[in-house]
Amino acid sequence: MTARRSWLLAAVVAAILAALAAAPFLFPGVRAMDTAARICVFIVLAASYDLLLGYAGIVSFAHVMFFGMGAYGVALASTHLGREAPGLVLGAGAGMAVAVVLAALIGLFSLRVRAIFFAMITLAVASAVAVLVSQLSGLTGGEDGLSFQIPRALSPAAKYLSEPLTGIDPAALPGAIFGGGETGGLFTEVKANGKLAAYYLVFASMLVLLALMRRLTVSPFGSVLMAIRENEFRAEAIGYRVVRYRIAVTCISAGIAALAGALYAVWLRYVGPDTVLGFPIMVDLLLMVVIGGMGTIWGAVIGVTLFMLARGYLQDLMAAAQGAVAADLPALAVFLEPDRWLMWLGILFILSVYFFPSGIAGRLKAGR
Amino acid sequence: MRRDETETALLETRGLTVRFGGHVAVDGVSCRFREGELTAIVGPNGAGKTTYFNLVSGQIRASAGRVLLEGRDVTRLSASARTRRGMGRAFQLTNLFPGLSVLENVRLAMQAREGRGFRMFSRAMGDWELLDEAERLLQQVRLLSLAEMPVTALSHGDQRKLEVALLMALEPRVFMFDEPTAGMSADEAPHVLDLVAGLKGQPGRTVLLVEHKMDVIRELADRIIVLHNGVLLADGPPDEVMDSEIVQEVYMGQALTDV
Repeated sequence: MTARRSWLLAAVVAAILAALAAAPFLFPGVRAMDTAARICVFIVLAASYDLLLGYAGIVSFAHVMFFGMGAYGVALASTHLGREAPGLVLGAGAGMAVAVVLAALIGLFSLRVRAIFFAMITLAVASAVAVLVSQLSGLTGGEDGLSFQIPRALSPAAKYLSEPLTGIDPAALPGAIFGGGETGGLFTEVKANGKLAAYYLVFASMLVLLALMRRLTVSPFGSVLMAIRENEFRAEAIGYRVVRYRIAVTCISAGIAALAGALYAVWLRYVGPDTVLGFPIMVDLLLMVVIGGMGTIWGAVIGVTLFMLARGYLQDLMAAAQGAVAADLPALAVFLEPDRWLMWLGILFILSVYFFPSGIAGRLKAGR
Repeated sequence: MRRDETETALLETRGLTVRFGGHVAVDGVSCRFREGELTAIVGPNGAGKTTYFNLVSGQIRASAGRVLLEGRDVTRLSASARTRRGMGRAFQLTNLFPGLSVLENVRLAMQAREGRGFRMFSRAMGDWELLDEAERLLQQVRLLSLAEMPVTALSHGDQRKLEVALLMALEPRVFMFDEPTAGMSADEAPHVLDLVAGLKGQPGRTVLLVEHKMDVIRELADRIIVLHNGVLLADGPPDEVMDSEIVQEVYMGQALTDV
């Protein structure tokens, strides 16, 4: 391992994870908690994709399809078996099983030949499944998707404490310290309801899966994946069965993607083609992994967080900036029109890829 | 009966042939490699030495003929399967894991040898047994001081040494070296050749060496086989083969066409 341990990278990742752990208490509001939960889910998804793309060097376009399988597994089980926890677990398990089996089949048929063939097959299968899901509306709800109920313990209606917990609003912090604002505004009420429980279910699952994937990447198995990525021919020549390793990692990453999908379904209480299957999500995922840095699990954490924050708050930020410069610099204000946020997102991504070709994590790691 | 036929050969090729289109690159080569022996394979450029190696180690498929490892037919097995059965190969053009460290390259080969690649829940860097062994091997090939460097940062000569180390790490029964010292500096080459020489005479092992330098061959080889246009031209003790008329002719011819 040439990777010198970098305290900067560790600090950034620790800060992100700590912020996610305290998110409901630090960032008040439904929207903030929703963003935090989505970040948790996509960290799992992006890290599992990085196992394929960054560690094994396999390009797949079906990763979001596996994600969708986990989500639809939960949705279908909750719809047909009732809202209780066993049904939910069964649904997640079934979605995961289907994902792993399908991944194994795709791998068996295509990874023997050439890695590029695998990419094309995954593209075809993912498109076919997406069409199938929107056509089989009797089962999947078609384009409308499925709304369903989750166990009571995880729904907003469940109350755990009679008194709300106390959170802190960082936005009120300067006022509290310098005595300008109302001191009372510093503290916020956090309801100890099922939604909070659901958030911590998602967060804890993310931590466990992330730790598992991290372990996998530093294991002998992970080292073989990197060897195959670096020189497939020599890996084969020193006696590794390259195809088996490729199929194994394809199945593992598909299974974890399905679990991420199941978590997402539990959080949203809804699944639909646009939220858990669409090709745009696949493109987002690729961007998150590339921006964060391929070949390091921590890169996924950073990439997802940046991407989600940019997507969620760039528009607000631009509106604020536009308001600030509107009077003095009307020309600049035109560019900062909040409706143009996608353009700015694009520019930010191009810049980040240009300046950090090895991703942000790669940059933080060694300064190489 | 000649000594050849009474003793079991560790490795044997029978009528090994490969055609690329209409061109026959290796043409019916039959040869036995005995335990403890170091066999040099010589021949002018384009004689089919490396192609013969590729056929034996399984990098390319034979059009005809067989490869036997300890009497068992391995002709249809992949390169990877042959390696697992005890054949090891170092390449003429350095063929390493470029983004990984020197230590990791060697460790990966040892991990493959031990069949530990599918362990998912232990730490690769926690396997002290392999790491210690890898460090010992790096010390032998004088690369220990560069253990943490990525391969891409190594000089050509050091990469060649690592190429040899990867083969040693596999601890195969059949060692196949393809010009191990090509491109190495004059003070490094003898050391690597010493390592190769150290493999001679060991029970259960045989060494195949493709080499151009005649002084090296004369010193190391127990036996020489000469390939020319894919055909086995001569086979015997070094002095006998090198002084034979037919070999002189082949090399003289080569020298003349080169001019």
